[in-house]
Amino acid sequence: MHYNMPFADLYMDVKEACRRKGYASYILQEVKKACYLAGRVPAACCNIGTIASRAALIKAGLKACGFMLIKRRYQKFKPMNRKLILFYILFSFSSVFSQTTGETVVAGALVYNYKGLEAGADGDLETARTNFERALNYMPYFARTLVNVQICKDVEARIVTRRHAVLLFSCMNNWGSADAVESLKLINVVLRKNPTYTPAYLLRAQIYRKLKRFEDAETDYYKALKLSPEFALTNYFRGKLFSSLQKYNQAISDFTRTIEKDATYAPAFLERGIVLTSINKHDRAIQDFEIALKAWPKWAATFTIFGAYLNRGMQNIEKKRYYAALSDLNRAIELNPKFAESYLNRGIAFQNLREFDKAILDYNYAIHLEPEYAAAYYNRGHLFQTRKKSDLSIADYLSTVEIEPDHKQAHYRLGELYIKLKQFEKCIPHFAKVIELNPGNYWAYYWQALALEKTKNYRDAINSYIAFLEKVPAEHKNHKVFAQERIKKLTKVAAK
Amino acid sequence: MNLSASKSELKTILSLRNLFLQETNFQIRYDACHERGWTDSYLLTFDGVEIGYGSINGQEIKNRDTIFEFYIIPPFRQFASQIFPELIKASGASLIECQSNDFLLTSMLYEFSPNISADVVLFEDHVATVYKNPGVVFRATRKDDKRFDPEVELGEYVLELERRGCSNRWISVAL
Repeated sequence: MHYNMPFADLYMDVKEACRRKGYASYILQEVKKACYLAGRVPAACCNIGTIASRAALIKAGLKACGFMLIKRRYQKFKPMNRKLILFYILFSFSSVFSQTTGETVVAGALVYNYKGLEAGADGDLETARTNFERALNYMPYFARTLVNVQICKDVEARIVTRRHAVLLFSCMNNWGSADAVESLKLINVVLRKNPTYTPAYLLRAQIYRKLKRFEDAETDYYKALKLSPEFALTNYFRGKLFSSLQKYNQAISDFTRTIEKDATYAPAFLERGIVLTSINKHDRAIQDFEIALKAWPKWAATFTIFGAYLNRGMQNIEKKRYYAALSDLNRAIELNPKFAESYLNRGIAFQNLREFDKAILDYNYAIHLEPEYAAAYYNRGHLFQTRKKSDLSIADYLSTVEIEPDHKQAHYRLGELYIKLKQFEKCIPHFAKVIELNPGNYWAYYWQALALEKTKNYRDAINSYIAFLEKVPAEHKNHKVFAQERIKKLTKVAAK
Repeated sequence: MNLSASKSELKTILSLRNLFLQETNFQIRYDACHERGWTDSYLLTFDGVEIGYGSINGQEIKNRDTIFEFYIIPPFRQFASQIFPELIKASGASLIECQSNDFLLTSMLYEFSPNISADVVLFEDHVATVYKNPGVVFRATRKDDKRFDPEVELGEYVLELERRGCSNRWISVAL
């Protein structure tokens, strides 16, 4: 009992082997009756990603009445992380990076797909088809559902028997949660009787993927292609298999074949774009993403797509092509206006183009979106420093080191600014921190020595000059001479 | 106009909290946190008059970093946006967590937090269903019932499968 009176918190769990048989909704129904008798009001909650629980609660006569909302902890964008990007493929993307609308669409499609499978497994193919079509209303490109609809059509066209279709749906209904090996046995029964039935090979390949028997999966896709060379989804599924195995060239080739067979199947463009991003071909990836977006604009805010623009924008900044970078970063912001890193990078591009006001606006907005974004404070601090606004600059660098205490550059810049302002006491700890974090930074020793000398810590100053002389390369001749002179002078002063 | 938030005992805010529960009239997911002692309570005042309360819990039980309840009595609700920063300041909370059906705290979340996500769906009762399942028995839990999963506690009720080959009791429900 966790809720306030009179609400009762329903909780249930079903033994794994007994799932997907309607028992969850049945027990919820019965426990709701127990609640009514006890004068309680049934209520529940479940994680957004647990589709089966959500479906069971809805089936048992509950309805969604809200979400638990929380300020999201900031997740840093990792530039050009190929492996990560692969996880954001179309039908498995995480709710953390997706917009609520996108999430609802995919969740809705999944729920109706499962409902269809449940009805199909119970032998009610008409209800199954209705549910599959509802799933497609949510998401017209849902590949698994398209195959399920194909099976329903094949029953009507007598290409496959009703009994075998029911077996296929039972197998799919089971393999998500239960024993994949059991599902494999069922599907083999169907294939023994219908050795030329393409969808069965596609489904078996999916089960092989789950069992990590990738070669068998590949063989099944090959057989499916031989049987129905014009069925576009076979190449799409195989492309996804290759993509997950990091066989990028084969994946690209399969997605291209899908597009050749059915140019309206937008997920093939999206997936090919993802693979191209993985091999660093951002230009071609972005072309594909633009086509995919025209077909299904809800993909706009997915990490992969705006991430591709952000990545290319960052590459352009590195190559000092700032106008090109601006174009990419503008598009990234247009696609997802709530991602702080896009504003930070656009700010950097503006700063390099000497459009300082615009750069400050972007840094401000990045900080507004993510108040603990150290890089945004650092870059804004750097801009203020170049504009000779030392007080603002110091405030931003201090915020940077408060958020990221090991931010070497911010400590170094703080030390530099304090030296310029002749606040020698204040700069010493920052140079000490730089030296602790990067003992090879000889300039930190040099400035530290100067500050120590000014604050009359002669012994420490001599040690710092010595450390500077040990580390500084020969090309800084003047500074070396200066340090040697200071050591001589300070040794005499210290001796007195 | 002096708006302030000050730390207080749970018993001090209980009368205000009853008003909150009466007004909201839906399940409160973190209701039990109060009685378990996992929260800090803050009394909100307007020129010294008690006008509401805020409650803080933590993403970890021992922490107090999340504002999860916020209530202002209706005549003073126009000052919600002004007093909420006082609560943030007094509590040092860095997160807000709320139910989207709690409109007052949700509006504060929208106003004060740029990055919002949802990971849990809340459900309320909607319709009564009449599914029949002759192969199973729904009954109260008995002492000799065994858990099918050692990590899952048995609840007050179980569903028992009568069919051969799956004789374990396999469902537990907590009320």
